[in-house]
Amino acid sequence: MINLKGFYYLKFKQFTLNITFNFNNKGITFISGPSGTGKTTFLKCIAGLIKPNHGYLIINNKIIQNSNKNIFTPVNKRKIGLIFQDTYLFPHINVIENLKFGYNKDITKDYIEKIIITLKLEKILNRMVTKLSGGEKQRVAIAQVLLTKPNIILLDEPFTSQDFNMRKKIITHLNIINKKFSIPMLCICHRINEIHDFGKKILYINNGKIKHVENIK
Amino acid sequence: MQSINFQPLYLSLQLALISTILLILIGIPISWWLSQTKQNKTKIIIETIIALPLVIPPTILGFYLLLLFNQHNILGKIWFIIIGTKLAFSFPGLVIASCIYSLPFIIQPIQLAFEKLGKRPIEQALILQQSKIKIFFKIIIPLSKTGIITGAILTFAHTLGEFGVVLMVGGNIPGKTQVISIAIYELVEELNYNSTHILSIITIAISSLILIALFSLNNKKTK
Amino acid sequence: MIKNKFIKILLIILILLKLNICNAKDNKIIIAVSSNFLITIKKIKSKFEHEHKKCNLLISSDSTANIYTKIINEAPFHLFISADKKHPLLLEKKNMILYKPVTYAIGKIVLWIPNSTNKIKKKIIRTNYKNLSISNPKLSPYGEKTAIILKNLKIKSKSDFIYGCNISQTFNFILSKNSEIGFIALSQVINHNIKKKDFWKIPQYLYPIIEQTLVLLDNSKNNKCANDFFNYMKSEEVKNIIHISGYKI
Repeated sequence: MINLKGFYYLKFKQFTLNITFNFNNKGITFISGPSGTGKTTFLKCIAGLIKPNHGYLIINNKIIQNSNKNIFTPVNKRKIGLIFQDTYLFPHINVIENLKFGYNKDITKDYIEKIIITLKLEKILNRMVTKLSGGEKQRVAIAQVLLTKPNIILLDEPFTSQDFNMRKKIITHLNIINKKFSIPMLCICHRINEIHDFGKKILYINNGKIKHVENIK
Repeated sequence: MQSINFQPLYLSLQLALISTILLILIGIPISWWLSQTKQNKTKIIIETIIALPLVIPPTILGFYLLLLFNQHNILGKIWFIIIGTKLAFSFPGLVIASCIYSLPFIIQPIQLAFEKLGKRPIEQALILQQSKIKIFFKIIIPLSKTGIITGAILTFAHTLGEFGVVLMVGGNIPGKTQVISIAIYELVEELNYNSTHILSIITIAISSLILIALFSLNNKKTK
Repeated sequence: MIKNKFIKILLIILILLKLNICNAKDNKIIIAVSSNFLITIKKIKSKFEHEHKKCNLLISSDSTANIYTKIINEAPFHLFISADKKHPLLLEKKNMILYKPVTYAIGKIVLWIPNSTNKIKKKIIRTNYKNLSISNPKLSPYGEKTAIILKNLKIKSKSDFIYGCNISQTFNFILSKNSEIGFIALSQVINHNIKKKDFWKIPQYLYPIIEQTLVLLDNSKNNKCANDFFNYMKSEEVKNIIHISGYKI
């Protein structure tokens, strides 16, 4: 269980992100809403990749950032995983080297094996990144983030370029990971009908604000 | 039959090698700063200063460098205090002159390579909780290898072919500053065409071998 | 693997370079010599090194004025073999030399017209020859005196005159046929076996005497080889070599 509390204000050309939030996240929380209204920006602010004009972020009562007090924890210290919309793996090293890149020092061999097996990566460990299919790349990216043992994983539309079967596979995997490794997730997704079975909550964002929160039963 | 003196060739190779290595070490941080800085007044000024050796006639550059190296002026004085030898007409003086002269050739390809990387690889590595130093050496440098090698090739070739700057700053002193370009110039003056041909062909052959080695290193990366 | 090949080549280069750097620091002296005397000094150098095995002479050639500029900019020369007296005297005024300038040769200027069909005399210069070559009077004492010759012969400088940085370059211009005619040193005529019919020794009354002097620079204070060479240059043996090379003693 993780508590995310905060406020972001960020002025763009198209809209202004003006978002106040305070919610507990266990399981998977979905974020939905029209495109270009701040969902990705919101996630990137939480990860620390985008600096808002002002705002603050408190996770589990720990101040991560506060623009009034000039506090800003750098991205690499936040322990927040982010699966980007476009999958990027380091092209100059193979799959296992990509996975190793973010290894948390507390990681056990068991943990690593568990992840590789869950995401079905055993056969492609020695392949170069350029020789992977889209779906394989995505699974490697997810494993890469998991191996850093983050406190929460943010996902930005991880299903877009996949076909129906692949989407089903990924959401199933995410669910297994969420349950097996107890990592809460915050996931941007459009196709609400497909995800209904898996999440607990949906945040609707429009025009840079949270419009309403729906609890899934 | 005069025996041929290969020392100018060794000197030139030494000069090109040392200058290239130094410029890679100096050029990478500068190129990184330039690639990460948004366009502003400071950046424009620095980019202009770096590019100046491209447009200024080598003799002007050589002239002002010679003044700078004089023992009674800043650089020459500092050098003398720290090292104890004169900077003008010395090999270290040539290295400094070569580095200034070839600076744009190392900076521009590397800066381009860094810019081409974009933010994505860095963001990915930061999300993976890696330190900025590890990111620089394990991600940025390997992914920019083509740019770095291209810069090294251009710098090496450019330094090897120097004439005007070296003539002014070096003084054509055999064993110290008589590089191959000046030695051949002198051989032609002496009408020693035999030695000129032999020395020139050997220089071209060695330079070509080095370039081939560097190019094939580059091609392997892009496969 | 190509990476290994590259490393091997780099290592070979580094080894070669190390061999270069590790040259035993024998007694090395650097002699700055004006271009006209380059070929002659090399003959003298081999004789000297033969008799003084420990000494290693390095020759750096350039025009007289350029060498002077280098010296006052602290170039590491031990001796200056000039093509005039003026520049060594300027150095003397600046207290940069050890002994008074020593005259080692009297230079002579000749007019050279390769493959000329007519007999070369005074009048010939007025004929329409293209691209007369002379050494730059500002840099070369030979050039300076040539300018006086032209003045005395009442020949005005034309737009197609070619100025060589030093006497060697001037020679090259004529040899490569970029010039049809030009003024060079008698020593060059001798060294390159130019046919007698192709040159005219300019009468001495047309130009001041080219007194070529040499000096020992203050870098040579405790340098045995430099001092030995300075003395050697005054010897009969050297005087012979210089005379054969086309200078008057």
